[in-house]
Amino acid sequence: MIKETMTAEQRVLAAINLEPYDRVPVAPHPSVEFPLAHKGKSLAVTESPQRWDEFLHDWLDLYDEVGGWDGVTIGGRATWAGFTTTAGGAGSMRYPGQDQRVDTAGSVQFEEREMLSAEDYDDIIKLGWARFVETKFSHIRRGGFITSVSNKATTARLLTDQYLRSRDAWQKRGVGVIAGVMSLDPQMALSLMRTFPQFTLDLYRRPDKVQAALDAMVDDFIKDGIEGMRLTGISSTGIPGVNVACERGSGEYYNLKIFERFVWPYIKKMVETWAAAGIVTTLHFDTNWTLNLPYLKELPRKMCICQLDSKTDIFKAKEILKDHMCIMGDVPPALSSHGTPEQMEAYCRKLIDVVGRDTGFILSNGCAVPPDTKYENFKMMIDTARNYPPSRSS
Amino acid sequence: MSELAEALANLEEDKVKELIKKELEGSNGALSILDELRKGMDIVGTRYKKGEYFLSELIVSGEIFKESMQTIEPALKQSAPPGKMPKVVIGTVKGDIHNIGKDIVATLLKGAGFEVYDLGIDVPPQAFVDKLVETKAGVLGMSGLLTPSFDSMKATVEAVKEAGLRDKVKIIIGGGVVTKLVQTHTGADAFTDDALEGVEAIKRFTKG
Repeated sequence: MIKETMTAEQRVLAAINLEPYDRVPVAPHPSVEFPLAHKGKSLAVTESPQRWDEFLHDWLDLYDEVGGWDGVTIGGRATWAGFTTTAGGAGSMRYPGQDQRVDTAGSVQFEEREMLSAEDYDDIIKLGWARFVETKFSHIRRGGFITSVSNKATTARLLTDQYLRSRDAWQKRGVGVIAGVMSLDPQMALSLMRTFPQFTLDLYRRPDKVQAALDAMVDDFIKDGIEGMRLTGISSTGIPGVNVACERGSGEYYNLKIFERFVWPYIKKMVETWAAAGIVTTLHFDTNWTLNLPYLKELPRKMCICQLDSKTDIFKAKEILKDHMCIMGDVPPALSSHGTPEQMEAYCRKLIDVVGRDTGFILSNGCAVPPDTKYENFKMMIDTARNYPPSRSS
Repeated sequence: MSELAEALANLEEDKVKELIKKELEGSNGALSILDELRKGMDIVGTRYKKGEYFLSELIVSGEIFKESMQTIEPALKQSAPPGKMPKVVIGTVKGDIHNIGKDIVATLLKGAGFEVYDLGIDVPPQAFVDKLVETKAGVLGMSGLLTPSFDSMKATVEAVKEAGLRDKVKIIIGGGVVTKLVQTHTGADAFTDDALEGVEAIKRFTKG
């Protein structure tokens, strides 16, 4: 066991601020499923409001069972800000217990379904995103329930209240809450609602229209992040944070010409505007962003966390970003679910040795903890951070 | 390289349509057009391997190929039947409804000259086995994006074994989080997290 000289929150903050830490902090990215599955419970309708607090308590029980960890990437389960702004992405989520094709022992899944047509770009350009969504859809799916647009204020309040209960519970345990708000980047929102193949074809067939739509969307996303932070408040880390789900704009999907026109300007504008308001953005980078890593150096220093899911080369990320931003990740999902504790320990040690060197690293699982994670593997990830000292340059 | 193959490789959708129309009206038959389209898809694959093309170019070229096939299909039916094409059964496994990766691979396989039986998403093990029996396909491709899908893949490999087909069928698994560890767990012959790499592996299978 390493002799600890910092609190959990201080350790997380040190990593974000690129200052020395006593050891590498560990902060699992929560999945609603794993804590419930660990207790042998059904995963049906996990997102319904009736199960929010059950999930929170099971997650806290797991925290106690493994002897605690340092941070949580998101304070609560249902903390999406910009209720209508991000609702589009949630429209095609398919939940265990609500869709018979989705196993009640499995995860929430996303179904590619065209919720927008190519003709809708004109209305997005005219109305902006938030007003467009409210005009286009009479009902919005958020989490495991559907609400009418006219009832959105009440539902948003329910979500905020739940978030605050979660955040307070973590803070009582001294755990650093890294983000209070979740969001998407505009390109991701369009891709989710047009479907990836159709959106990709749009980039070739009607690029100017797509760009105009993205231009009309981005300010609503920025505004919602700030408004979300106002509602959920500053966490005990002292840093207000937004977690932005980015997946479909990476170098795995698109060449740099497309990235530079349709993806990067909008992520950059969001991060820069939020940074000016003191908000730290966690860029939740699923898929392979290795090609795009150099662009991240254009973002404000120490105002971002690069959260990787095991597809991006995290060691390359350290090389490129070590003096610029904190890196988080990236235990592969398959290692959590089908690996052994020995394999888990070896991988986490390698991460701590290389990516955790000096500072700027938070050990976490790639994307979210899979529902079929083996408890002993999860515990090994936590224990390795606690017991294995980071390497130092001098 | 023919003009049509080049237009497809360069993702020039309108030009491809125009050239196909001209070739159908002229002396070139549908089989010759199909051959040129496949050459175009080969070039797309080469550019992807070189890092010049990305997933998006695979999607766009696949779409142009699909649309072109619809255009030439009536003429193709009147042409002499093409040579025997290797058969592949493909689908996303039981409990998983993701389709992007599987759809891309299915399109690329068609572009590479395979006869593809796409069973869709959430496919139970027995449905894979039934289709393998019916078509006598020599390759099974299973896709899954989530870790619980690994057990569905394993159950399907077991079902193929129980049906007595394992030594006649090569099995490849694919998906964003699939690794060597998962291949070992499922008992598949190969794994991939890259659409084109998957197609290349299937080509190797069918070349014996």
